[in-house]
Amino acid sequence: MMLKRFLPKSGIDYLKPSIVVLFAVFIAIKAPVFFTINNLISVLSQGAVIGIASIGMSMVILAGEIDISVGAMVYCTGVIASELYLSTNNLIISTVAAVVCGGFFGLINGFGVAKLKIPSLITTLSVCNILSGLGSILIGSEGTLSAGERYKIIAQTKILGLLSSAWIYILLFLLFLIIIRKTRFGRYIYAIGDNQDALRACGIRADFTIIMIFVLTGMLCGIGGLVNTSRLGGTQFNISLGMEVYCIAAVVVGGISMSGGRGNVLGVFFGVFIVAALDNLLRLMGVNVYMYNVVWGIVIFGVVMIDILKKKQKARDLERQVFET
Amino acid sequence: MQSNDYLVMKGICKSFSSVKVLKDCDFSVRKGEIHGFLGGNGAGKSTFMNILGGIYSKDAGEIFIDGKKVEIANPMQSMRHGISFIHQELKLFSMRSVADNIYMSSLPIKGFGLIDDKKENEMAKEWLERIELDVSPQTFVEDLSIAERQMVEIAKALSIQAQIFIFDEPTSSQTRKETQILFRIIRKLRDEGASIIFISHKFDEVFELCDRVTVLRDGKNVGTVNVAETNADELVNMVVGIRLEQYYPEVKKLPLEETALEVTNFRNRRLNDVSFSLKKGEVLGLFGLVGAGRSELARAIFGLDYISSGELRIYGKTRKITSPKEAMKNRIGFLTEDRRGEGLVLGMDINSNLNIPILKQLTIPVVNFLMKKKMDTNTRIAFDQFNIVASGPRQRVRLLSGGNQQKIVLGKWFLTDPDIFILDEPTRGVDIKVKADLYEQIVDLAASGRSVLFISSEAPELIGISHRILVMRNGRITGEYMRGDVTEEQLVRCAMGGEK
Repeated sequence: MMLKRFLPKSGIDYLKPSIVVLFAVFIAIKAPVFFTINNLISVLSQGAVIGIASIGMSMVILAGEIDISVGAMVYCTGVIASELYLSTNNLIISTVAAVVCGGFFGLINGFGVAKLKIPSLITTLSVCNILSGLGSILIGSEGTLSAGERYKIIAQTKILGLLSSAWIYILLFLLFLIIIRKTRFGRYIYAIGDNQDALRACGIRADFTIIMIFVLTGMLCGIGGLVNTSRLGGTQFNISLGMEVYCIAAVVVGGISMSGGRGNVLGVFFGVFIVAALDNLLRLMGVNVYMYNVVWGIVIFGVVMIDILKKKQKARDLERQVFET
Repeated sequence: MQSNDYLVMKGICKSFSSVKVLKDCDFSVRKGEIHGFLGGNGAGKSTFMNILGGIYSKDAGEIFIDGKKVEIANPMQSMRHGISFIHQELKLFSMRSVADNIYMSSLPIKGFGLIDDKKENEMAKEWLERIELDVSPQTFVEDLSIAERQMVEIAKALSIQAQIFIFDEPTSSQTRKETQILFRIIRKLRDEGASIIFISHKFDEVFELCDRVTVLRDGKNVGTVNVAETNADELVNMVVGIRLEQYYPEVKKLPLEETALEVTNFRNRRLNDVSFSLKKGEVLGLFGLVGAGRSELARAIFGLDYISSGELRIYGKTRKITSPKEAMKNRIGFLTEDRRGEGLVLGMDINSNLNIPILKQLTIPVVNFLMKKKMDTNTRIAFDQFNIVASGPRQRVRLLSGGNQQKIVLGKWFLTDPDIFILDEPTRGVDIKVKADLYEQIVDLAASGRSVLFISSEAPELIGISHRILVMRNGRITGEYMRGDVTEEQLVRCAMGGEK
């Protein structure tokens, strides 16, 4: 049975690119101020935290899992970093603590998923709840936490016209690109999302790779928490909770398949940009805050639906082949 | 033991939950030979080879490679001993490139831990050239045909310097031309000194390719012979053997003249122009080996699989069935092969399971309450009809034996009152006493004017209760035998393709 080497593209393959183009045209008409350089730079800076967390989310989704504790990890590590800065006045201690704590939270996720075989949705849901509660307890009853001006150095230093938060994101993303494309670890991530059995048959410890993915995601969220609190000069109740929705949107808009194993990670950079832009646009247009949730829900549902329809189309083409000898 | 035996396996035993699958089984392969591995369904071939591949662990026995005793506890160890298992369901990363698939376990690295893509592709290309597979190492596996994917598995095996190759029915999804290419490569491997184990269902392939052949039956090695010194008759006898007597009910009633179900020219990717008819009151046996297309035929009739062309008639009227719902509306019942997965809700009790398909009729309109009394009556009917042995209608199905579970699936379909039953391997994993029960029930169903398409891998039971038997091979119907005019040997031979 020979398959056709190149299946012809059908209408659905053009659906996603055309929506992106339509979106751009819509912005150009509705909010021309969007396309000014200054606004684009600020979009990138605003998107930096989402971007940093999305790097982790890309790995998790490529491996066929999900992590919905991302927002809570950013929240909790942010609180830890700013609290520590308040008491020690030392940026290095804050940074190390945020990254290490993030890594530890990720380790719990990874252990639950890879070793205890709890579905990642449930594992990370539990961790999400633990961390959002823990974060709020640490902030204390006043509900806000101000870390002082010097704490803003991390995210708000201007270098070559861009804020340092954006630079941190760009550098981390480049590092991520190299890791995912050029290292064994990167290949294994794709392989896990593709066919875990086959990876085991190659004698490679899939469990270890899965744990590493969650640990790295946690560490990235730690950096995200640090950058976020530094950007705001402190933190308050429930800030950045629910951010995973933005991250998932960025990853799927970027072209990574929700079922794992497939997708070009470079797309995630644009996915983050589109998500940050849409967020920016909603604010520019003065849309009702509660409308945001509706929009993000629709975006994720729509994009994943398009992917599934594409896959179904392909399966149908396959099934309709006739017996040949 | 001959001195040139490269792989020797001695006294291998393996049981699955108290069922002995392998009983003290011996096997050996020489260097530079292609060794056929034959046996009917359930003879233990796969289990035996999975032990060699490190997928199952053996309960007892020893394995020697090149004279040294080895332990194989997992696939990695098997690989390290130079064993490469090319599974029927290939273990490939379909979304990765051919090169990645060949080298996933040892991706070449240059400085800073970065993968050397260029070297990887070059090395992969060498192996691809050696097996004459003309695709780029960067092609994605999902864009390859099944046969090409198999070649990728072989390239992978070569790259780890395998000395023993296990091919598990590699030709089942290949065209004749692809098979020829595969055979050429297998011969080349042999000439280079590799040991090849070739698991197959097909006699013609064994005669064409193999040097020696070993036959497995009921978990035992029943003999190894030189292919040049044997013939299909001898092999059929070895595969079939002598079986335990099984009781079969008397088949008194003959089928009626009226045709209940008629299939004409069914085609899809697994069926190749299949036509047959089933008479009212008939038990029509359908024999064939795994993968011959029997279940696929049943699925196509029941509307589970797509058919690209063909016609279905029920009592003379053309029907288009594209979903199980429509099939049931046309009074067809289908007992799937996978009773635990598709046939039962294991966590629910017997009463609920039996009544699931007819819940709609058992619901009081508007208020949507269930008619408990009616359900209980139904359950009683099924208990009586099918001789279900359980502590009561409230017992959970999970706790029942395989045989009783099967009776419940049968009972469930019976309650929907179908006219045509399709039974796919209804007696698999069922003990001898329950089997006798099931046979009786099948014969009764037919005697009551219903029609039964009875799919089985066990020739004796088909011969025992069918009015007529069809044999499938390779997606086609290749033989038709009438009751009283057929032997087990004939069926096996027809199914394996050893006709004269």
